[in-house]
Amino acid sequence: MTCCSEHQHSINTEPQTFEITDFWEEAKDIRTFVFKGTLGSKPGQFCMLWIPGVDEKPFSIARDYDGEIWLTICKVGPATEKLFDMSKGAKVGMRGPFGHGFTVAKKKKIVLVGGGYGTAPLHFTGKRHAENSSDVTMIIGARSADLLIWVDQCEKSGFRTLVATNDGSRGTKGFTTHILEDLLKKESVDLVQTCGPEKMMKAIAQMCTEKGIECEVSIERYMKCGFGVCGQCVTESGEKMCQTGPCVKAQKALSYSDFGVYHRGPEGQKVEW
Amino acid sequence: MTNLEVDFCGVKFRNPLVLASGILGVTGASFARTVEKGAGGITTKSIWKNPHPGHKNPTMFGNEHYFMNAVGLSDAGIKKAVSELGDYIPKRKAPLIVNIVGGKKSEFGDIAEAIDDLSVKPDLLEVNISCPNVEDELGKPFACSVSDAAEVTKLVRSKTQIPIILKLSPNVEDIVSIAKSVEEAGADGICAINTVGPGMRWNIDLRKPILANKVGGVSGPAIFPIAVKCVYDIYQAVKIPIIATGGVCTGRDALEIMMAGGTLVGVGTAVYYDGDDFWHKATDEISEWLKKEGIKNLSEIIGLFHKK
Repeated sequence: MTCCSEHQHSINTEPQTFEITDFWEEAKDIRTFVFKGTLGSKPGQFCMLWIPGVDEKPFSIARDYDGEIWLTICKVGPATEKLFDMSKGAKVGMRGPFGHGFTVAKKKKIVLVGGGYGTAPLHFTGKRHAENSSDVTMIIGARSADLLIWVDQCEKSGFRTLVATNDGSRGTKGFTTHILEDLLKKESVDLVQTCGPEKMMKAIAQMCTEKGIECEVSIERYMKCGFGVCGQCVTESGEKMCQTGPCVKAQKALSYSDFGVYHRGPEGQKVEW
Repeated sequence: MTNLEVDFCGVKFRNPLVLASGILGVTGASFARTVEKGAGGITTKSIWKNPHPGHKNPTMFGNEHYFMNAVGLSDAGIKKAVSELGDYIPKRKAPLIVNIVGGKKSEFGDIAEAIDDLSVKPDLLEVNISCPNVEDELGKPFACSVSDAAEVTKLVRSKTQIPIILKLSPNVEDIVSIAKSVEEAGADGICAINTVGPGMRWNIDLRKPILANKVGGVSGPAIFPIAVKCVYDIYQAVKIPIIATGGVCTGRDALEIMMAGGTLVGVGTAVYYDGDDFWHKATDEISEWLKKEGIKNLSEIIGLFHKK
């Protein structure tokens, strides 16, 4: 039997055991958890995190190098609530990495745009670009200053970091798209990559496509297996976002009739964004 | 040119490899893509009368030998299904098998009726009386009893003219007697087998069962010998055609289980191992083998092992 020719998962998808070695608050109800070990992830890929006895959910990988995996997680339901109750030394299950990450290629100037907790995988992405000698700009947005994540780490890593909040409590008052629009008027950019609310990403995809700038978006869909079997995360093109995605080129995303319009819930029903 | 076409209950399939129920079967877009990639036909996920949430994650995992799942038949119910199928069926480029499931026997009849009301009907109706992953909720599957299996068959038969296929469980003492009973009750075909077990696997570090449902159906290469035996035995006992399903991972596997008695071949877990590439790889392998053997029509090999 041959295996796994076109897609990325390994032949064994039994969850492996990982220990929580550290965690800290990023913002209200948002924590970064550190796990000892590696999945060998590329930026933009995701893993399935199993909270034994509760549930298993997909999370984008915020860092996977130097013997540590970082996941930045928002407390939104029973699985994450249980995770937030766990102490250092507690064990969880993890499998992955899954999916297609962001392109890391030699580009002069790269802009990464994160909205809300969609910002989580972008520092890792920026770091890989910087290793390639690309000039990295981060645009990070949230509803208000207390919900911003990863801003300090991005600044510390030397990325030019521009901030937008809806209420103006930090940085520019407005949306990340406003900052990007201004920036694209003044500067020549070779690649834009974005992760965040789908309507934001759609606006960015359209903006970049109109200007002929290469752009990638990270499409979130309900995932059950994470490795191309259940069909839960399929877009209206029939492509599985756990394998073709989550990171896809803007033109491709714009060709999906559901992109920025709706996704599907746990039973396959349509849910509008 | 070898001809891979097979006829199943009067429905023509361009090749015998059909996507089994529960794999990639959530949306019409997914069916269309799988047909484009080379599947001969598609089976939908099991459709319930009312929305059914299924089990928490982890619901599945695999390794080189086998795959386990306990999705628990998540589905948005017949209303969503009717709208999704209403859009897809008129545009389908390969036969569609709609799979239905119920908790109570009457629900099978209700769903069959709703599917029968579609202005463009699906090609076949597959009746899932054999899921091993919902026993806590529903008790022993109807496929475990000769009389229950026959009763569901009769009820569905009375509600629709669409050919009906009963999907049987290998987890019984005598699958042949169940097959005979559904044939007698009016089934047009049989799908054998559903997943084996259920089985159980634990993570020793966490001291927790890997599947949230604790137990789950076993599929993949490990169950192929069981599937071949079940199909072989059923073929000898009934006249209606069989969708041979269970652990088929290559074109040669498909040929073997067809010779054991399968007219169509259900494929599920192979998608885990080979992704969308499976379909073309397997049909190419089948064509090459037929060419080498000088066989022009694939349908000639159905049940070949039984010929004296």
